[in-house]
Amino acid sequence: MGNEERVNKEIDAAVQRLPISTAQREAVKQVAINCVEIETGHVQLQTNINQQFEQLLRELGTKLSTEDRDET
Amino acid sequence: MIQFLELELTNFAIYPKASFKFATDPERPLTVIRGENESGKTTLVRAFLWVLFGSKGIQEATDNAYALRPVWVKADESVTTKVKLSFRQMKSGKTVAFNLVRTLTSKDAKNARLSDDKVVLARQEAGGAFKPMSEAAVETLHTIIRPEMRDFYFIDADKAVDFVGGSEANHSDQLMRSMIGKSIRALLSLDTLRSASERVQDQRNQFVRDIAALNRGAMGTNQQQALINVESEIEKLKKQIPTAKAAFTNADETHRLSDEQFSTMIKELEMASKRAVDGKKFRDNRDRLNVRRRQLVHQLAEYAPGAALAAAILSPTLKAIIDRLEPMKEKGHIPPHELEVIPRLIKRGVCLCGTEISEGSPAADKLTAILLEARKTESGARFLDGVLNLATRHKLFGAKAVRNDPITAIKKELADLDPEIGELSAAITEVEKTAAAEGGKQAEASEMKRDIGEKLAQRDTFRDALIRLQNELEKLETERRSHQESIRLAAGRSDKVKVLQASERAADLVKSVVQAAYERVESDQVADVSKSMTNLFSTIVGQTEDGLISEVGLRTTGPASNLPEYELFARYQNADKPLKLINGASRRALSVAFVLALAEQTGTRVPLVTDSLLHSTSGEVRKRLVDFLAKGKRIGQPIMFGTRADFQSPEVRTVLDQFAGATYTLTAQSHVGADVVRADPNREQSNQVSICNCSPRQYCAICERTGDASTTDLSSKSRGS
Repeated sequence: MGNEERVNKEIDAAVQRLPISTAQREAVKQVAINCVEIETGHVQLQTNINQQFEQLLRELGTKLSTEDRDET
Repeated sequence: MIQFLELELTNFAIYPKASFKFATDPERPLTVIRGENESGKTTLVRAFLWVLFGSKGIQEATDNAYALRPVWVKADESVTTKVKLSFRQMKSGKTVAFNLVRTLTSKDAKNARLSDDKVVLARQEAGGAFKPMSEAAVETLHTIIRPEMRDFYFIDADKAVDFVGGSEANHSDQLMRSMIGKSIRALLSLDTLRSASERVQDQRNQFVRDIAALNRGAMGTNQQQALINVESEIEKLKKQIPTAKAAFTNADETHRLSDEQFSTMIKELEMASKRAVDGKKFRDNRDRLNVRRRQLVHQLAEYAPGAALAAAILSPTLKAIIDRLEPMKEKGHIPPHELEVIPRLIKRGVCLCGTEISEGSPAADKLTAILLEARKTESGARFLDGVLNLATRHKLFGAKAVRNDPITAIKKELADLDPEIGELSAAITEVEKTAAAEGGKQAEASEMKRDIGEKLAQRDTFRDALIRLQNELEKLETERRSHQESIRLAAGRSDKVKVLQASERAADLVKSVVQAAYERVESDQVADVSKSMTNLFSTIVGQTEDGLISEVGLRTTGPASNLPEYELFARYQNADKPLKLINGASRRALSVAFVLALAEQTGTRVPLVTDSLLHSTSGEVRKRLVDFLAKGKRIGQPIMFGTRADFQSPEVRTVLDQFAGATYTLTAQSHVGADVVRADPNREQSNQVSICNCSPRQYCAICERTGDASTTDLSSKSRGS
């Protein structure tokens, strides 16, 4: 198993332990993987990593809130 | 996975023009490049490093291009050095070919600068042509083949022992930890996970700071209460204002009416004043008429000796009249028309002298008595008048001729004057009476003026109160709008705070996930590398339980700092054996075991170039190392550099025969014992390197050395590289 797969596997394992819904877990996992990819530079070279992180986290926050509302 | 396809050199150090195609066949993945010392193996590795990393790849470089300039060019000769690396990337079932070309034109040896180089990464399009990519693409390539890991990807015997802490004589645990830590953090993505985790944490802290900043400016609850208070005040004022307005309107109307009355009164007073002027005219006229009357009496007196008497009779003062009438009454000489005047004067209550004569008063009684007496003598008076007239007609009273006409005319004028004087006196009396009445009005007007002043002051007081209330209302309305705006903004901030709080929560979750992954990778994968190391070490060295080292591995040192450190360890008889006490052969085996274990565990999919790595090994160890590298299943693409001696053993050659997909032999002047140009007609300069395709088991006219022909292990290969 390559290192990237290993990291993703560990991220997946960590996400499964979070006390949130399945959809929310998937959203958190995707953002975590994206963050690591951006940090690695596997995604096309980033000019402003902080901005990318902020955007990802804001979108995730909105998504999680929406999921919360839908569940209630 | 990345595979090198071909390396082309032009005017690079001792290579005028050279091309190396690398093995890519999975069954024969090994590329072997043989060459003796000073034949150009390290220079070839330098070409790899330069084309991939530029000046960062050339360790000994100080921005001087001396290491790249062809050795045969003159010091001031301009020359272009070029290295082209063709490679392909296989990812997700797709294969894409790239060309990486780096060039440098150096004008002279002294001033040539590495930083003047130009690099182009081109990607093969569907049609087969290569299209240049952006400069950023080169940076992306460096995230896969990392410049800081160049000693890992391009490893030689000298560098390899740095992973263990350097040579036996100069062992340094610090060097070992630095090399190990750098490799572990880079290849296990620990650096990446750690920095991603820290970046998420930083972002989360920023969200918290933003929330705090928004909350500081919010004051939503306070604004709400303030708005309620202001609106309550506004309601109160709105109730007060109509009352104040009515009070002002009433006061204003009252003042207006009083003012009108006052104006009327002022007009009346002005009329009275005008009438007073008329009264003066009356008096002046009367005075003038009296003067005329006196003149007439004097004229009349000239015609009669009784003129003095007549004048006395006609004296304007009552006293004079009485004084004059008394003797005349006694004599019976009183003109009847004068007697007519007195009753009128008495009736009007005044007399010409200004003395008040009221009916029933002693003076009136006296005058009435005189009048009655006079009337008694009226006949006498008439008689007297007749006598006077007769005497006048006959000029009996003096020298002056008495003519009837002038006397008659005077008498007539006197008779006309008397009523006129009487009328004027009556008018004057009337005017004086009116003036007396108007004198009272003056006082009333003054009183009214004071009253109007008071009403005006009162009206102004009500007006000021009303204006004050209206100003207060306007101020409160402004305050209300301000509070409403603040509340609206606070509501907007509240929405932002909600978004930020959701983002903060998201950051917490992502941070926990990345951090957990980091900790798992660190704890588990480091252990896995450690296990692999032990296996590889045993495999390569052939370690047994009776050996001097029973176990090797990798471990995390104590949490002395934020950044964990890693170190290699070796154990003997269940106790740590200090690395500095490990001998050279085991030291090299340990370092190779580490490199290969790390490559194996991290699934490194980039070529591994080993330069003279076999120098440090011998016998079975060397054979097992070649065997491990050659099979190429654990590492991406092995490219092995070595000397004839490295590949001399039959066991090694057997492995190479089986797994080498490409072989090259480098020949330099020192190896052929003569001018290399004579051996290789393609060469123009003796200090240039010659290249042939001979494998470690072959020789040709270019690479042939003395004794090659008599060695049964070697076979002759015809020219034709």
